[in-house]
Amino acid sequence: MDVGLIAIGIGIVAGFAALAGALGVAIVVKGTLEGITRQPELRGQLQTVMFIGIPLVEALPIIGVVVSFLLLGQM
Amino acid sequence: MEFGATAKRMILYTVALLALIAILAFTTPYNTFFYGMLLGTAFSLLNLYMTYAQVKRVTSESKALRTKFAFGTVSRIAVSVICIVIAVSFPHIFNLAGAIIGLMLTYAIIMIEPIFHIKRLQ
Repeated sequence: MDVGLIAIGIGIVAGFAALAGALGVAIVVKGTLEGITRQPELRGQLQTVMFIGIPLVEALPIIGVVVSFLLLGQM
Repeated sequence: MEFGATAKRMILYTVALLALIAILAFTTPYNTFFYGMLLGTAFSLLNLYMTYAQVKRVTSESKALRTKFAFGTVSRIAVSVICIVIAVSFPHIFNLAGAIIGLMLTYAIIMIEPIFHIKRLQ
């Protein structure tokens, strides 16, 4: 396969994975911090939800980076 | 549902799974697959602990009204990349598919565990 096309594919996959991860984590953390500021007594529960939410959001970007590395191996 | 207790429970489950995979790796003939899975799960455990530490740090810093903090996404992705690079560099020892499954194992635990916890509370 054309090496240039693979390189473009790697760039697109890694770039969009990073963008999606950054946006997702930002939304989760923003919501949690707003919640903690509004109701400090719910801090523990909100932290737990954040702790569950962040890895769920981050799983997809990690898969994206892994796929880009697999593509790098094809070059 | 307290944060520290939940995190420690998930870390405990991952360590238990790690032990199970280690037993499977040494007793079954599918050595390379389970070695890869062992590698992936070990790095996944590191990722989980890093998430726990960062969440703890970020909330304490936000409580202290500091606005400058990092969340460790880049370091977690870097840890995953290191795992995949190791798996790709030594294909005769670590199976790549196993390493990827191992990396995603913690996320599966995080997704499944709250369901059991809610059932237990009911």
